[in-house]
Amino acid sequence: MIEEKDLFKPEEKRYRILMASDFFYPNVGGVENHIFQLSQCLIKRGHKVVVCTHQYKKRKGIRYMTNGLKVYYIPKQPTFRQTTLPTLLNSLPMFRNIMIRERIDIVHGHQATSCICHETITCAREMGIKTVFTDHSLFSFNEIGSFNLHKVSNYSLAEINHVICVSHTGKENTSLRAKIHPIKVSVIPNAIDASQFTPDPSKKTPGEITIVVMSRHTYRKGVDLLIQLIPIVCKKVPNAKFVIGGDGPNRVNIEEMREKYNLHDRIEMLGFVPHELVRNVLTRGDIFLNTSLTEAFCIAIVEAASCGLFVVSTAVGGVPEVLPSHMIKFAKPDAEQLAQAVIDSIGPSQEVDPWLFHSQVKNMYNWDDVAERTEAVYDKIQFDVQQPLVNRIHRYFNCGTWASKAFCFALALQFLFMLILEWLMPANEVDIAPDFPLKQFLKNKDKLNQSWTKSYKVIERANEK
Amino acid sequence: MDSLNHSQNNNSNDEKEDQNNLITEKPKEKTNKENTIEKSNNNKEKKEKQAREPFRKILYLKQDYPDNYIDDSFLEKLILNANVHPLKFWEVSKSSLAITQQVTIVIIFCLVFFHALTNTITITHFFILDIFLVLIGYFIFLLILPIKTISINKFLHHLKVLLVLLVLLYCVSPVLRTLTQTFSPDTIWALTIILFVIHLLSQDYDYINGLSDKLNAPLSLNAAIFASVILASRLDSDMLVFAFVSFAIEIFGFFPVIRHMAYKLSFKIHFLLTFLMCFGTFVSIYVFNRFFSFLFVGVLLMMSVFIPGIFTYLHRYKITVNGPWDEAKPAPLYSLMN
Repeated sequence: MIEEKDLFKPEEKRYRILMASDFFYPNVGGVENHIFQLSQCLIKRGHKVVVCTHQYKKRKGIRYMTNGLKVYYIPKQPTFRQTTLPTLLNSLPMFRNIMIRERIDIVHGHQATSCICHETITCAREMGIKTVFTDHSLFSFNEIGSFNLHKVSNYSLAEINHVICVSHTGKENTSLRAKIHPIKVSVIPNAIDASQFTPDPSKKTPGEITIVVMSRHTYRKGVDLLIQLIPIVCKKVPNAKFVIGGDGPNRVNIEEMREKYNLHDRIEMLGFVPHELVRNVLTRGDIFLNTSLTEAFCIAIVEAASCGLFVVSTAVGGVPEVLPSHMIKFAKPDAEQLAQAVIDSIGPSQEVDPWLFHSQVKNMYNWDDVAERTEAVYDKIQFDVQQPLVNRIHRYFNCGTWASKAFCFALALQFLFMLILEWLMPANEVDIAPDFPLKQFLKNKDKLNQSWTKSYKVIERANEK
Repeated sequence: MDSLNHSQNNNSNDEKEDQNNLITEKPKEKTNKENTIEKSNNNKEKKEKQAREPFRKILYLKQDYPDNYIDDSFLEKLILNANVHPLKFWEVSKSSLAITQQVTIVIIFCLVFFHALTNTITITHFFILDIFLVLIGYFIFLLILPIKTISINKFLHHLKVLLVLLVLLYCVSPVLRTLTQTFSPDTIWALTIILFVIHLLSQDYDYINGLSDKLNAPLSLNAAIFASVILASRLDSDMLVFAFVSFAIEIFGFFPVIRHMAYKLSFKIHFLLTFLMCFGTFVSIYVFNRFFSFLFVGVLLMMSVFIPGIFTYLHRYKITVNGPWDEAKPAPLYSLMN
């Protein structure tokens, strides 16, 4: 819990940060969790954090979350995979308004597939606000879809002040595809809330080797490998049992395999497991199996190791960087090699001291450390100077043969549009939103809680009647 | 720019580094001040390097390096142009002959149609042409086939297929003739052009060039037959329609097989065949319209010389980038499921 004495940052070094992404609560996922946890830790360090995301069904407008984290659910409809439509100018007035209202110093966008992230970054760039971008995924260079994404990133990240990647592989990937100088790219890994993932050896079934799999059942998460691997392991290890959590389009294929090989008593399918209950599933296992085909930073294996499980994983993307060799065994993305790795790790998995694993993981990854390093990035970019328009156009002109012309055009258009906006709605006429009074809030938290619980009770009673 | 070169000069594989530089084109607009800061930082780093632990690509240990540190191992797993081989002009030109053949076939087919429409070819001529093509085609087919595989049963089977096809076609030809009576001729010409473009684009040229052993172009064949059916519906008599559609089946359905076999036999035969087809087409267009015949020669030159030239020239700019971020490709599912 946050105490008042935790707010130690001197007044002049506190920033007002806008976290912008299409992905936020109530949607569940790695990016959503990352933004929330990072924001909480930054608030804890005395900064003001505002989140900007699109509306989720009926949830639109402004909401406050834990410790005064202000969330703007802006009225943009999500279209495909929770992302909004990309626009060049339409959303600029809204973003400009939010940034002026909240007196934003730093815009921090998350995830390359998010349009809100790119739009806020371009808007902030026009307003001379510092920008930071966090990339959570890897993208290959040989897919048609990625080409367009690379060009969009190329445009919006051309003047970025700093980029954060979650792994060294991610850094290489991002600096290549968005053409950013690697000195501008920092590697700050993800983290987990280790207190939520504590081991519980009593939950294990004695005499059985339980192998836990927790992932969305999609092709990219390696369902094909899993389907090929399970029969091999079940055949060779008579006391092996699989516990499979998660849901997805390929779930049917796993069930088909279970029917075909008659493994109903060996495979337990749990379906979708909410994040807070994942720990209860993990503690049942001896080995955690990850079959992803690509992964920037696999948070699932860190959670599993924190619960004291030995991890077997495919060596793809940034996964080899995540855990030390005594916690994990790698195999090539091939079913037979992976099955062999699972069989080989049965021995080591029985000798694991779960609490030792837990304390080690706790030291490796925690959100406070992430927030500290992110803050260091914020401190660093304060010295960057806003370039005059001529230099900026010159920079965009070097972005490619054809794309550069379009980029310059878009840049000029946005520049002019911002001038018109300034004329229509001058910045000094926009209302300033008061900052959340965190100090007073923390001081009077108990009283507030009491009055809130009282009012809840009144509401409940009213409902009962 | 400078700082990157700085850190990369240490690396021994210079070639790769140069390519890296090409790819990560750095924004040059850094102010001089920034540059000097980075340089001095780098020098400092170099001095400290001896004392420090070597940098490792891991996340679980806090290392004594800044978060934005660029190690020498940066991008060392990058693979450039893993599967790209430089193309030779002659090879591209050679394989473009299959497209040339296909285009000439479409042109010949259209010419024959116009002759049939204007009754410059009579039904008798048409039947002679059909039978001649079948016989010649089958003769070549037998010639090219290995002798061991030829048997009387196979011949009877082929004969049966041919007869069934012809009888069916004969039965439906009155229907085909009246199929598009209510349509305006413009619709027919437009449809025909679209269909032939589809036919040319979706033809399985790999098969004709002997790269695959099974003709896999259902869309192409369907488009061509559909085009021939709607063209046939403009003709006067049932017999003409019958002859015309069987001609279409011969040159769109069976001829690719012969061309595939000819290519497999030897490239010289393939080239000779292409030359004969082009020459024949040229002469028939020349009789029809002198201007179009020279246009045809121009198109031929463009297809076999000009476009392959551009293609090979541009191919040197092709860069494929692979690295650890690529999606792994496991063995397909069925290999173990069965």
